[in-house]
Amino acid sequence: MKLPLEWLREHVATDLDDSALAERLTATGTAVERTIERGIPATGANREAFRIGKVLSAEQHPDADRLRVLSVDTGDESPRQIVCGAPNVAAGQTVAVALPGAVMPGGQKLGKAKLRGVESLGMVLSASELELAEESEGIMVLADDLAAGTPVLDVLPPPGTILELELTPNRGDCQGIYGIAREVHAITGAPLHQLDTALPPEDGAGQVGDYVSLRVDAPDLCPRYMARVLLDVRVGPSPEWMVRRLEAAGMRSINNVVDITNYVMLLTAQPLHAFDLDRLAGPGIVVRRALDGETITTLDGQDRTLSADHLVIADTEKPAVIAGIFGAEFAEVSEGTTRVLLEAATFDGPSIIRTSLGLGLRTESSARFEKGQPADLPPVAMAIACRLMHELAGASLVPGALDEQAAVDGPAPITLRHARVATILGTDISADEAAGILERLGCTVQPGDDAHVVTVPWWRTADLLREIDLIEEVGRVHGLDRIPAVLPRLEAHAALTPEQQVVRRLSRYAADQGLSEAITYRFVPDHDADRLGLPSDDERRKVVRITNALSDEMAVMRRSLVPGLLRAVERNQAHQRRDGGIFEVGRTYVPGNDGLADEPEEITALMFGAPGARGWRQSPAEVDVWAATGLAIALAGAVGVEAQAIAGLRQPWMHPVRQARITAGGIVVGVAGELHPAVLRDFGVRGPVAALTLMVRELVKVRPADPRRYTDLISVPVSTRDLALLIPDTVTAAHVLDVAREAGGHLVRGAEVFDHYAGDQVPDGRVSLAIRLTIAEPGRTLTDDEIDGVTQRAVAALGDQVGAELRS
Amino acid sequence: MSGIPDLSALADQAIAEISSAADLEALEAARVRFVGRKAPLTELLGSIGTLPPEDRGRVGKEGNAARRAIEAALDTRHEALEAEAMGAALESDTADVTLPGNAYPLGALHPITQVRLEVEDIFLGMGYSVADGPEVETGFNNFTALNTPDGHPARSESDTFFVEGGDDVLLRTQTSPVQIRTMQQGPPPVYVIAPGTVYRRDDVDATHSPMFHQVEGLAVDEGLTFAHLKGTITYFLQRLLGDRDVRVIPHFFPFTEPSVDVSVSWTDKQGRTDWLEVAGAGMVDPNVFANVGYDPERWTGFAFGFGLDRIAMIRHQISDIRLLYEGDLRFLEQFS
Repeated sequence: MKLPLEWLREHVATDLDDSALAERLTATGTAVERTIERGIPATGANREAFRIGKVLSAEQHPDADRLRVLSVDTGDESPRQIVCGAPNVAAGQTVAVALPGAVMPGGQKLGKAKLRGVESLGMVLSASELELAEESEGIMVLADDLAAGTPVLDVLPPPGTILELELTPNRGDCQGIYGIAREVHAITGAPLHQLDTALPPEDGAGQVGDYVSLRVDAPDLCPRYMARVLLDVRVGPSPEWMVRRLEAAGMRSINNVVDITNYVMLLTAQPLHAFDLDRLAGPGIVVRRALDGETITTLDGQDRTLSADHLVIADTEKPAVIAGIFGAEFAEVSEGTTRVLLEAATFDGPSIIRTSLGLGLRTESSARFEKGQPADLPPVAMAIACRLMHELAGASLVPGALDEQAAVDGPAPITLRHARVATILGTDISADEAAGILERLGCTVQPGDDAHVVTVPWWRTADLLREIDLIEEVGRVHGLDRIPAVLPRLEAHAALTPEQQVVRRLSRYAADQGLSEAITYRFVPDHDADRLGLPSDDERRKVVRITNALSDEMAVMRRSLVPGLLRAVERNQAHQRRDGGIFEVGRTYVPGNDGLADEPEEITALMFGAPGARGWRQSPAEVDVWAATGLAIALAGAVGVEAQAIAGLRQPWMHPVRQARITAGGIVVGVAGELHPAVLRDFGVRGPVAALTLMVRELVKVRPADPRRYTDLISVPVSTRDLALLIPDTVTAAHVLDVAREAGGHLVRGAEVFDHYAGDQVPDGRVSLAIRLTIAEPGRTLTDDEIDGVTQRAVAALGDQVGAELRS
Repeated sequence: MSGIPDLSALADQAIAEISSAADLEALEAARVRFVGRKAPLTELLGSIGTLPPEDRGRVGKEGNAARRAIEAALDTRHEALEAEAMGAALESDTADVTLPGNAYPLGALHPITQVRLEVEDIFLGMGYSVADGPEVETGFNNFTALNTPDGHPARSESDTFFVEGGDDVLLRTQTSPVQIRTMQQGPPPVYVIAPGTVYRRDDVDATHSPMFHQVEGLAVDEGLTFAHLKGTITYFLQRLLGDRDVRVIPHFFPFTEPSVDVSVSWTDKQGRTDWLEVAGAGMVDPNVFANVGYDPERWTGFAFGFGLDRIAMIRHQISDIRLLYEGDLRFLEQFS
């Protein structure tokens, strides 16, 4: 909201200068977003330097067609010579003149000048140069009764400073200049001038009911409707001061009648509407819901179709206004209007918001109605508007008002306990200070030893309802900046949950392996499921679906992190990134009951090309299934989980046989493998891409809870035995190790693959696999026989169970 | 006495020669010559038995002393020559040490994650827990319980994402519903922060994203006041953003009262200092306590919230929010 300070200061006599006032407003919650300075700076020097002048003569410049050489009386002993380029300048005019030394709006200082060889001792000003108008053609010609030499600042006060305010939604009362004046009174103590709400003489003929009828069919949406009739209205231009104030507040002048409604709205926050009474059918006003499909041609010339959700102010035949928002062309005040029906009403805020959003129409009026208006406001605005109509448009007010009002209770008194103020604010504010603040805000305070009983003024009944609301006001006006900052002494103890610890460790570990963390949109296109090749009956096609998605690309909540990361890989490859690793830790969304969801967290990593550390004598390998399983098992290990890659998984988006289930503690904790080339193709990604996913909940489930116990494998010898085996190529390494471990019994501390080979010198259908068994028992030295026994049992079992033979 | 060499002179000569041996080869030759099997001293000592008995003791004693001295000199010289040889060998084994050493990978946590972890650690240090809640949330928890009634514009289809199959189920628009969930779980005292992902129906542009991140904080206890809110948020912001001035100005939020906007002093590239709004905060509204069954007469508390995206963007001078969500490694890897 734009607040011209010149207008504000008419209502509240604060000593604070513009910037101090802006600071105080901000500090108490009326945030000043921007300060706009307009017009000539009102300094003492400028009082002398800007003067009214009389153009005594205007001669053609000898060397320039478009310039005139003027002789201007500016109140000095002799006239001064001024060169002027304005086409409308003429002898006999009264004008505004800036003399050398004048500081113009914007700050530049005027000097003497020579124009085409002729000296100019000043400048004749246009309205735009004085920042009294947005634009102007030629110089500003003033009334002839102004004396030469009069300071311009005295007769054309500059629009001055305008503050742009950001109002909080609870302060509907501040949407008018007078509301801010009340606020300034409360926060500075500056005297507030009462609004003059006396009606002009009710000298129109008859009674209001003789001219128009009123029926309110929708009192739920229109708690109060008030109207008056004015006769003998002379529509014409508004006076200069009103035009300037409207412009300073951001509105354009239309004609005196419309300007008065806007002016009073800007002042009081009560929107008004003026109808040409003679164009209303009936004449009668009906406040009702629109009929479905009913149309209205609004002032902007647009035809709009209404529905029963919309409230309209209609005549006896058709809608004349979309209530509180926008008027119809046909009933507007125009040049020929002589009889005006003036409306001041209150409407249901949420209904105004719905209508405004639904029709895409937000106006100065609707913005004010959105917050809901107090029922006592319409008569105030009506009185001021009627008086201005009388003064500026010569109107005669018809006695009486149409006024339909739903019954409202007056505000209930609120008890404000002194102790409670300190309990909430943490600082001592005396009962007297609190009472003083509330009284300045317009409250009535009955002081008490333990508590005040407070009645709030009619303009604050919407937001001051409870004790806490009053405490906020007391704190706000007292100054929240004056309350000390104290760190509470906590007796709380805190630690991350296991899930949080696991997530932190997984992320850190992945990053330390050279992968970077991405955050991708959690809403994804519906067709991700197709692109991943999920069968039509796959459970993972069940998704949380957004009803009002921004686009098809953001239609459903993800079930997997893979598609989002694939899109990221695609973008990286699009700018020639060949190798890389990227991961994300985040939720997936499994639909549950009543539209809610289960939201398990997972880490997914994608590696593409040949990522990893690259140097002048090292180069990483292209990723494959083992890049994925290796990192998956390392990540699990980083959170204390010993995991294994198990064959036989068939996820449709992965290479059919180069994928593994990652298991630990007897459950599946994740998957790892190469992505399916068809999936890569559909996402526009070049292979190879290796991927892994680990599920956080599952990792937490199998993570050893207790601290691991120390095993003494230091004071006893630890033996290793290597077995070179030929195994059928259908047997997996994991199975071989399992068999060896099991057969070896508890003495086997570890079993690992250290070589794998197929090809020359290995018969078809067989693979050469070398495994190493680590054999020891804590606290005891094993005999050679015991150690040999282990390997013999292992070899025998491998022969029996997997058809392995020992290579010689 | 004739026939018996001057042993001390012999030793002196040998030691002199040994000390000047230029290399291991010369040293070996000297060893052979002075203490080798056929060296005169060796032979002398081997033939002591043939000497007259009165000479045997002296010759044996002096001869052995000479031999020990020579052998010591040999050892010393040997060590010196070896060290010299090793030194020379090392000197010739040159390397361009400015060539890159072995490469080790280093990825990056997302800048939002980095800020979040810092925030969590600051509050963990103050005794706060890190709480969590679902993103697919009820309208009650996201709005109603937080004093934003039905019909409020924030609850409209144009501002909030709604979920199919649910009655007023939505993607949470703020982390504030975690306040409600936390309080519903048990009685005070409560000291939690809740970082998380939130959603608003904004079109994507340089300053808007329909998905972004917030941190909510909630403290409920006996005796908590606005002064404690100010102390907590000031301490936190100074830990996170450095020793800046922190300003609170009154504001409005539906679920706190009094409410404030929190700003920190910030100097831009042109050297201008201004207030930068970073958080919203306030004392928990008694209605919110009533909604979760806390007695507002006994308990007081404060809540605060701020955007992680915004803080990350301020800290790293990122001017386009879209960069945070594109997974562009050229961007992400700058934060390792």
